Amino acid sequence: MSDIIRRPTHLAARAVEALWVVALLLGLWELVGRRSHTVFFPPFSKVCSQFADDWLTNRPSTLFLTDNFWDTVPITLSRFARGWAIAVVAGIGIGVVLGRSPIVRVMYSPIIRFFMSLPNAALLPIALQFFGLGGGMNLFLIAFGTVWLIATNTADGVGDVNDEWMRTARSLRLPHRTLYARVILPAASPHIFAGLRVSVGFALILMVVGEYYATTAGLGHAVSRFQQTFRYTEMWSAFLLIALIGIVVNMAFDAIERRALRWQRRAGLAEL
Amino acid sequence: MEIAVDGVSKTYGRGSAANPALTPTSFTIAQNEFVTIVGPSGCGKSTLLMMMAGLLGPTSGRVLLDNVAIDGPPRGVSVVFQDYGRSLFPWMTVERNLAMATVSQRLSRRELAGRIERALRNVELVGQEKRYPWQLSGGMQQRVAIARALVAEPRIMLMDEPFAAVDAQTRAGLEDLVLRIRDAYGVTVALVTHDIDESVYLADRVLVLGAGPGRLLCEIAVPLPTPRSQIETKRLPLFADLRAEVFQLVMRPRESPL
Amino acid sequence: MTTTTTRADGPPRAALAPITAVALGVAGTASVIAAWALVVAAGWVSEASLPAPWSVASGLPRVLSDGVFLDGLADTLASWLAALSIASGSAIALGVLLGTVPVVSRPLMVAINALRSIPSTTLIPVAILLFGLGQSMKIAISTYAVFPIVLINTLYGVANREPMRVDAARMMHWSRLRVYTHLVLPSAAPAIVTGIRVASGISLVVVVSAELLGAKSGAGHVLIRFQQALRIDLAYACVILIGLVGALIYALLSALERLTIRRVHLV
Repeated sequence: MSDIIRRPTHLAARAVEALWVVALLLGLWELVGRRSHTVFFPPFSKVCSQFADDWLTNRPSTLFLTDNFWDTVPITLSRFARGWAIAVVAGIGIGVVLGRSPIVRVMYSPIIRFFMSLPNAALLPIALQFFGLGGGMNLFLIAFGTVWLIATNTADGVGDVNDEWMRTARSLRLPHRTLYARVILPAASPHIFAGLRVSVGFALILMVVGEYYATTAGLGHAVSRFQQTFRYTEMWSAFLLIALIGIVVNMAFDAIERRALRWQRRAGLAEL
Repeated sequence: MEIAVDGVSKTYGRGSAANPALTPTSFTIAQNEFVTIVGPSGCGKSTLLMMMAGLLGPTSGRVLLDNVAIDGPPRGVSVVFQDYGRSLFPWMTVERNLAMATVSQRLSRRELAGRIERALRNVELVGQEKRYPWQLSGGMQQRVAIARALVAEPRIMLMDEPFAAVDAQTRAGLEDLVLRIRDAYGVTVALVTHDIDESVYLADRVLVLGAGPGRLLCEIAVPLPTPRSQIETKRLPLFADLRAEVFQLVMRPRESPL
Repeated sequence: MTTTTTRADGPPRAALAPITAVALGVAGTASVIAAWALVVAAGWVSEASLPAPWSVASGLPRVLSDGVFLDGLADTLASWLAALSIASGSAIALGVLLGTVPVVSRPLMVAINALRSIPSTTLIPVAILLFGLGQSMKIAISTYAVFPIVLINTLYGVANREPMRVDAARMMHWSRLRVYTHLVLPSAAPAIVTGIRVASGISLVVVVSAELLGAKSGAGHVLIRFQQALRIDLAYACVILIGLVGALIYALLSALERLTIRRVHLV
C-alpha cells in the first residue's frame, strides 16, 4: 500500500512522470560519452545516428528497416521464439504431471532443482559439442535453460488449485480433458504466467549469449563480430537494438498477461 | 428419484485420534419431496450432504438412489455449494459456467442453448449469459450457481447452506425462488441450513441433527399449506409451533448419545 | 503419527515422512541416470558428445582434486560474492532511501524494469573493453546484472510497509534514522532477502557466462579448456560440480529466506 498521491491523468503527463529517470540516465550517457575520449564509450547521440544508419531506412516496402536488419534480426528472433516455445510446451506439460502427482514431484524435484541451479552458460561448451555450430545449439540452450523454471511454476499452480473449484468440477462429473483444459490450467494460469514472465527474460539472455559464443549469424554474432573488428559504435548500436527488442518483448508479454489474468484481478483473487 | 441413506457414518482419523463427524444415520427422501437438514455447528450436516452427493466416501453404510448404491458423484444429482465465489469459475462467462454442467451429457448445441435459456429464466437472470461472475452481485452469483444445477435437468438437487453468504433480504427472494424451481422442474430437494426459520419455511419435512457426535435427532413433518409465502405462511400459528419445536431440538445442550 | 490434509477429491491424504521423500528423490534421480546410461549404451548419441555416466563419475574426483579447477572455482566464487555484496549493499541503501519517496520510486521502477529487459550478458563485450579480461570485469558485469533485481525487491518491500506502523512511529517522535533502521528496513526484509536469493543465482550465471565468453580465469574458463582439449567427460564433471555449487548456494539462501520471513512475520 503506497501513499496516495494524485496522479496526472493526461497520457503525456503520465509518460513524463514515468520516464524522467530514464531520460536522466540517457542524458548522463550523453555527457559521459562526450567527456571521455575513449572510443569504447561513444555518446548517446552518436550511437543513435549509427543506429539509424544500421537499422533504419526510408523505404516503406521493407517497413522502414534496412536489409541489414532483415538479415540479422529475424534469425535471432526466430531462434528465441522457437526455443522458448519448446520450453513452454514441454514445461507446462511436465509441470502438469508434477503438479497432479505429488509422488512424481518428490521423486524428480532434486534433479530439477539441480538443473535449475546450473548456470546455463555452463552448458555452452557441451551444447556446442552436442549440436555443433548452428541453430540447434541455440534452441537447446534456450529451451533447456528455461523449461525447468516454467515446469516448477506450473507444478506450483496446478498443485495449488483451489479445493472448491476441484470439488465443483467433481460434482459436475467433468471428463478428464475438460477438467484439465477448462479448470486446472485456467486456475493455475497466474502461477504459470509468473513462470513464463521470468522465463522470457532468461530466454532473451540465453538468446544473446548463445549467438555470441558460437554461431554464424544473428544479432549476438554481429556484436561479437563488431567487437573483434574494433567497430565499437556499431557494437553499441547493436546493443541498443537488442535492448529495444527486450523492452518490446517484455511489454508485449505484459499486455498478454494482463488480458489473460483479467478475471483474477477483477474477482479480487489476486494475491499481490 | 428416491434417495435412501442407509446407516451412513463418517469418522475422521483412527484409534485414539478418531473424530466421529457423523454416527450411523438412516432416512429416505421420496420423489419430489423438499427436505431440509438443520442442526447446530458440528452436527455433521454438511458432511452428510457431501456423502449424499458422492463427493465424500462414507466410513460405513451407503447411499442409494432408486435402490442402487452410489460410488462417486452420480448422474441426475446436482449440487449447489455455499461459497458461490469459489464454486463458479471466474474465468468463464455465465453461459460457459452453465455449459460445464452438461459436458458429460454430450448435448447438441441447440439443446444446450435451450436448457441454458430455461434455467436462466427460472432464476430470473435472462440476458446475463455473456457476463462474468465478477460482474454480478452476490445474490446474482448464487442464482447462477442454482441455474448451473438446473441446466443438467437433475432429478435431485442437493444444496449446502446455499443462502448463508447472502444478506437477509436477498435470502428471502432466493428461498421463494427455490420453491418455484422445485415446482417447475419437479426435482427432489435436500437443503442443508443453519437457519431454523428457513428450515421450516421451505420444507415438506425437516431432519434435525444434533451435535456431539453428529446424529439424526428426529424427523418433523411440515404440513404447512402451499404455495408458501414469506408473510402469510410465517404468520400461521402452525409455523410458530413447528419453528419452536425445531428450535428446542437444535438448541438443546450437548448430552450423552440417546 | 501422520498429519492429515484434506483434499477436495475425497478422503484425507497423509503427508510424506521425510525419509520417504528422500528415498523417492533418490529413486527419481537414479531413474534419470539410468535413462542417461541407456541412451549412451544404445548408441543414439555419440560417445564424444555424451559420455557414459560412469566415465563422468570417475571424472568427478579428478576434477575436484585438480588444483587449476579449485583455483578457478575460488576465483568464480570470489567474484560472485563481491558482485552480490556490492550490488546488494548499494541497492538496499538506494532502495530504502528512495523507496519512501513515491515521486521518485515509481519512475525509478519503470527505469529499472526497462534496464532489466536488456540482457546483461549482452554487455559483456563492453565490460571487456572497459575492464579487461580479469576479475574486475566479471564483478562489474555481475553487479550490473544483479543490482536492478535487489533494487526492485527493496522498493517493493519498502512500499509494502504498513501505514499504521508508520503512524505509530511518528506519534512516538522517532528520528528519521530510527524510522529507516527500525521500521522500514525490517518490514522490507523478506522482500529484500527474496531478491538476494534470486540475485545470487543470477550472479553465478552471469559470472560463469563472463568466464565462458572470454575471461581468463574462473571455473567457466577451466570448463572451456576441458572441452577444447576434448576431455568431454571432465567437461561434464566440471559442469556437474558447478551445478552442485549453484544448488548449494540456492539451498543456503532459501533457508535464510525462510528464517527471515518467519521472524519478521511473527513481529
